[in-house]
Amino acid sequence: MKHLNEIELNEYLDEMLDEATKKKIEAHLSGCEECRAKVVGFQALFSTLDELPEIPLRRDLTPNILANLPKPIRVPILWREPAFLLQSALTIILLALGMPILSAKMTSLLPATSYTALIEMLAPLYTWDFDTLFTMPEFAFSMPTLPTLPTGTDANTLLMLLFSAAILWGIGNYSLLRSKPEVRG
Amino acid sequence: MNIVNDRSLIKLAAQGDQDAFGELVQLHQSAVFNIAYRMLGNRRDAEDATQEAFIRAYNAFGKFDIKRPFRPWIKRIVTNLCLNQIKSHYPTLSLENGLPLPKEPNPGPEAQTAKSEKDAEIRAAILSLKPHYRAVIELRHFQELNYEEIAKSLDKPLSTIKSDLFRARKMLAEKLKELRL
Ligand SMILES: [Zn+2]
Repeated sequence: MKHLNEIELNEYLDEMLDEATKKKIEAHLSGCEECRAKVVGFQALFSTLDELPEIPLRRDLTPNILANLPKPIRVPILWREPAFLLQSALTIILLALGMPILSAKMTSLLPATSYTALIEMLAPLYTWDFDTLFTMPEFAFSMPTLPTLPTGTDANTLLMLLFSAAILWGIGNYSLLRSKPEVRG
Repeated sequence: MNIVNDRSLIKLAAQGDQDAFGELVQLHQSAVFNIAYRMLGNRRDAEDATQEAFIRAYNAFGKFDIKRPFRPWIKRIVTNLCLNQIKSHYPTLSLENGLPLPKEPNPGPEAQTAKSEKDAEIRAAILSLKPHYRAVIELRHFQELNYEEIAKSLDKPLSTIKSDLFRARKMLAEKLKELRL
């Protein structure tokens, strides 16, 4: 019989063989002094390597490692920022004030013809017979009744509102940027 | 090692919690350092490689599946780091025949007994191997990876790993025989 080759020897030593091959190799080893000597030699090497102790660290490397990590940027939690809260409140107020004016203006600004053109375009949708497929639930479309302003609804008021909104937006952003992200580490 | 604790630390560290990452470093730095020390042969370089490996791990947390254990991952990072380092610094002239073996300049108290003399010689014998042989010895014998894992880790075909491992062992056995260990 041939001597064990490198791969067989390796896999036998690493215990990576199936039972049948392992038995075959052990049978060869029992009758072959030369291959047995090789195995013993390698096994001695393996145990030498196994016995090599770990060496202790002489200093804790943690502080150095942490000091060299990239600095984290704390993302501010928006709803906790006073500036964000202020801006949100102002936006809501300005929208409540501005919407009635805007809706009143819209009807006069947009030419009536574009409305009719739009409705004509959508007409096929209305006339489609959905009953053959399913019964459409009935929808009642109605605009919510919006509060009216006592000061009148002219373009000047709208401009004033937009202008004050822009200023408040600027102040809000300035204070947001000034609250610097906290840097840790 | 407490795996549950490890996992919650990984989760926090992956979110950028540096205190949690510091705890991970404390848990694993010794194992990582020892790999680097076996592969590089001196404390200073091994400490540098250990630090570098942890910093890389921190920066690569995005690519890491946080459900997996941290230790094999950080070991792989440091092994490849050291391998690249020794490949780039390895002299074109082979060290394998007769050149003086690298020794630690300051052996310290642990090198005084006969046992540690012997250990130092084993380390030196490993260090005298070419980088790719040193890597397979490290991965098979110290990190206990199987052939497939070694092949994957070093990005080489299985057949190459098998023959490298055999040659590395053969050379190491001969060196140790010369030293009558
Ligand atoms: Zn034989």
